Amino acid sequence: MHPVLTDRRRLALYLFTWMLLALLLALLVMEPGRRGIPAALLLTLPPTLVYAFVCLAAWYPVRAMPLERSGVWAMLVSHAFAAMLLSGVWVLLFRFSAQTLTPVLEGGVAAIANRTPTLFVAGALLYLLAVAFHYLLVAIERSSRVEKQEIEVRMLAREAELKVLKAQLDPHFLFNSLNSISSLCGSNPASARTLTTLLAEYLRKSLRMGNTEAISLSEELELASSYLAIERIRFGPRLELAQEIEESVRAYRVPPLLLQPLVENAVKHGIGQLIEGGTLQITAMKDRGVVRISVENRCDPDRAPQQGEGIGLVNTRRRVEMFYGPAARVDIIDEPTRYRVSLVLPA
Amino acid sequence: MSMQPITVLIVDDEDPARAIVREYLSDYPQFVVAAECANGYEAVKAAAEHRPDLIFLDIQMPKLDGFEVLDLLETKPQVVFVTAYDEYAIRAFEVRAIDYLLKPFTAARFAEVVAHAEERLRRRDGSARESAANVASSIRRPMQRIAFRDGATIDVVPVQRIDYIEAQDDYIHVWSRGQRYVKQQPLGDLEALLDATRFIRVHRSYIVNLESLARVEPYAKDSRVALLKDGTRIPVSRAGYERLKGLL
Repeated sequence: MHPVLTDRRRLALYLFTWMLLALLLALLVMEPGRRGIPAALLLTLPPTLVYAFVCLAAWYPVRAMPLERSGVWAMLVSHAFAAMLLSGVWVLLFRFSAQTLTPVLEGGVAAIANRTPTLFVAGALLYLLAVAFHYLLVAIERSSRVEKQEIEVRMLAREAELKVLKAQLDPHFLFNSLNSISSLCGSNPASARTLTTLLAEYLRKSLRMGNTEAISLSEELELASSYLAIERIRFGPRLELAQEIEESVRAYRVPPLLLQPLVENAVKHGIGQLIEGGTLQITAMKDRGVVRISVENRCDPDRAPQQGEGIGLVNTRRRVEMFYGPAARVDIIDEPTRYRVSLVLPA
Repeated sequence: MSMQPITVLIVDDEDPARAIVREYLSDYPQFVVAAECANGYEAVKAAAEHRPDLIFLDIQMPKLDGFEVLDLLETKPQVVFVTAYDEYAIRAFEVRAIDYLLKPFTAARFAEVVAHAEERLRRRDGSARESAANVASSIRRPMQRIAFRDGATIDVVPVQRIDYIEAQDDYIHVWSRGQRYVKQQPLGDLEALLDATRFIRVHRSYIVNLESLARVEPYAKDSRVALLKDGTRIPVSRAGYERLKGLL
């Protein structure tokens, strides 16, 4: 849609400019003594306003020939050609208007005829001005669009972070942990104290991490360890842990809380659903030019089939893409008794 | 008024969670803990063995959740749900649970629950115990799995593995991969719990899993038969055929 016609304020401003032009032209055609300003304006205003709308058509060639992608000569020739053609129309408009006004305005036709060359040049220049104006509009629209996109990307990143943080402070995890503490206070106060400290440590770490752009893989794994230490107290021997982290990837940069949702899912939907429990395995290594981080767990072969990917996984994919670009990927292995999420990231 | 001890079962998959119920309960000598169970299977077995008066029941547990455990019990005890999730309160109310304890809870809150339980149990003592009713309808919808019990054996069948279900008098026969599982339940109740876009009532006495359906063939005049992928033939009523057509 046309950017001027669709915006009432822009249209009013545009037409006002053209009215000023009509006034200027009226000064040109007025003849002191014979024809005053009001009469001259009567002669110039209608054709000028019609031409104002004609010039809006410049939008189409401007869109067809963007500044950065069109040859200079092609642009000059086509706009100049259009300018002359439309200026012809503009002169005819004046003649027609003068003729129509003959009964009330004497000598109008002659006045216009005398000034035909001037009018023609003015018409052509005005059209070219309109072309320039439309190029400006295109540029403004584009920059505001780019700005909007940038804001959107930033908001998406922010939203993903917030979601992760929210998932982080899973109320059920908190309430269950508090219940464990409450229970241990009676039977094993030392354990209760340990659990309180672990929980505090875990909360402190995850809250602090929400504010950082990137952390080392080691830091992320420490958070997972605090979390799993808490879950071990609740689940007991049902939850076995195995970690295999290559030295060379410990300093690798990851967005904070990248692995945490995967680890939590592995406990909640994987091992937590098994009566006999199982092992949660975290591995990280360099492998043929990529860094591969995997979280794997045993799972119940009778689990309900998932309808598409869980929200957690969709978020993980988005964050990986945002942080590492399109080269990174998230691979899922979904077997009856084994579930594994692997992040394959640029080394 | 007899003052028999009240037998109790504590069911939770987390050890500390069972421990605190046990600890709080030790202040009330009239309550005797018959067994502690770490999962639903154990709970169903222990309930059959001990016939408890009262059960402290966690909801989120592997394989069988609290409601499914309750559904499998022949004699329903009084129930107190103990959970960190507050979203099951309405379903707990539906099965007439005595109370709903949100983890973590205080000794004072626990005392209220105990008083409430004791009052309800003593009042009903001697008369036929009417308790946790309407359990089947409290199962999460659409149902993800069905639990069956045959004496001491418990089978849990994921609904996606069901081929078809047949009604026989008061019982339903659920067929999954050539195996038959039996349960006492009206077919209509089960139908209401299943995902209606995948399980179709093709006949007054039959529900079919669309995944297992191979094709529908004309049979005699005005009647049809559904042919399953494993070769089973199931009668299709006129209304059942209309329902099938609507979905295919």
